[in-house]
Amino acid sequence: MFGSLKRKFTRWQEAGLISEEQSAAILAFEKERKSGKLVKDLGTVGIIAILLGVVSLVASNWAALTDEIKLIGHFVLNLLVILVMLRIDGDKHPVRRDGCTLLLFGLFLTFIALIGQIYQLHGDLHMTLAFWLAICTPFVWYFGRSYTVAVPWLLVFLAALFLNINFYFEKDDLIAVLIGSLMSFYLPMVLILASRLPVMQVRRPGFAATFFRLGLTLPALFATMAIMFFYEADRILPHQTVQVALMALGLFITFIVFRPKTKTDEDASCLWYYLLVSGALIMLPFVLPALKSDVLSAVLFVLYWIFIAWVGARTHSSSLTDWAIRLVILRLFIVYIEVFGSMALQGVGLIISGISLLIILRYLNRIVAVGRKLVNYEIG
Amino acid sequence: MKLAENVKPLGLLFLAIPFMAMIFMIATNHYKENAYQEYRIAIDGYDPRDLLKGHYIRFTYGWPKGTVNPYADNRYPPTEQVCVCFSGDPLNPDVRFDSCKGKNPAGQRCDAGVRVSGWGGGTGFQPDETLRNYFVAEDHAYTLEKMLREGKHKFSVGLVPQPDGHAVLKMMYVDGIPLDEYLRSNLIVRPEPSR
Repeated sequence: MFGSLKRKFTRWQEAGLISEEQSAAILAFEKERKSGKLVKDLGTVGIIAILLGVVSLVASNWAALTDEIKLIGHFVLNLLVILVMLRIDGDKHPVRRDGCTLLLFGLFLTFIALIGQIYQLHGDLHMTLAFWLAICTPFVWYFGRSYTVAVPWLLVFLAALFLNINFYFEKDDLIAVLIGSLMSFYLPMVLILASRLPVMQVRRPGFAATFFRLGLTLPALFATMAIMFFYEADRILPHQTVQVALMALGLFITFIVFRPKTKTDEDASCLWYYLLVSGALIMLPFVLPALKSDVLSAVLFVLYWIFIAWVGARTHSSSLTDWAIRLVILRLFIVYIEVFGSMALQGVGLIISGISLLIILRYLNRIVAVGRKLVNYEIG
Repeated sequence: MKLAENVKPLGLLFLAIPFMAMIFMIATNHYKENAYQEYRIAIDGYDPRDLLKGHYIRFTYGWPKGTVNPYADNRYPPTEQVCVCFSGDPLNPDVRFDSCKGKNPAGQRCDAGVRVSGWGGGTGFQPDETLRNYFVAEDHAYTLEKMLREGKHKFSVGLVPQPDGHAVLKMMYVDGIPLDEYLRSNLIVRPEPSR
């Protein structure tokens, strides 16, 4: 390895790119850095071999182990991970600390499962997730820093939340309607606001970024789902008035809380428009419960995603703009299938559909580029 | 052991919480299993087509013959919570259905009772579903299911009634031997599923 590096340095010296002293200094530095690497690598291989051996020994003799040994073994394993974790300086080695935190988070779930198996507890999933979160959240938040920990924690949190609501409340209960509205309408708002807290941004940047991303994604997801409701003939739900009132209040709060402080703050104003438009669309099917219209659904979808493309262009997120335009093209093709779908049963119709799809795929990038220009032109 | 410098007592406390919870879980369940009398009840597979759900053996309790519908003869109103009450020899207990609270007309009290619900005859009344599943290792599930279905071996479970009418499922027994022990001594080999 050093041979090839030396040859390169010689060439660079001849080309006058680096001096002889610089070349010697870099070589000495690399030699120092690499010294003992082989020993370290072999040591790592040895440790992995031992761990794999222990795991396979335990696995193959699992049925022969008594319950006490299984419990004590798991307890000791968790304890070992904690001891390793406590020795790692989180500021110097954040990746290692986060890895240990995530591993411990997972190990406590397997510990709960093991206790459940041994004592035949038959716990439900919603209870297990809630219990797991309750006991692990303090240490996960204390020691975790990055996406590696934040994303799994948030996914488990959302899963536990929805499963528990689903389990404890009947769909038609007023309380379920209240919680449902709160979750779908206010959750994104809470996530975005939480991500802006100084303590989150300074101490837990990974958590803040994850919260912000999810808070941004959910309104688009919920709005797109709400638009699909116009395909349904009968959408009159119990406590519709309460639901609409709650959403209207949410829209008003969004209007006040996210209003940009200065007119020149492009990102803030885009976020404000985005949340208001998405909120209004989420609310629309509940305001007009008797309206069934496939055309309205399609038109709203296309307009909403053109709006998202516009948001992407204004916030200089070209990938968001491109994907939004792709989605619009896909939706337009689905409109074609919806309208002329019956033609596809005939040979000619099938050929036309196939050719249209091929043309769209062939020129997709160009269409996207034209769409991007149009959106940018509108802004200009 | 030297800890990293930035580990504070609060972090140690947060790490102790899940450990304490695990210890509490183990201790509570251990206590529930051992603080009260265990009664050995024979069990039967209840549906050969749906005997296993995951790696759980599903079964019904085979109450002794002559155990009658608790609501027969209008002994109790249909709203009354009925328990299956155990007394006598724990390995072969006397079983009767009775009101969960208070004494019955004969002056008997249900001291070791487990809530049941159901319909029809005596075996139609069963405890909660969580007490009718028993977790077994995947390797042995198929063999045990077959053994239970064939009825050549006597299967029973150890049920530990709690004072509140709930119960803990302590152990499954095959021919009177605890399942773990039975599996260890009989080296069950998992056969291929029949076609």
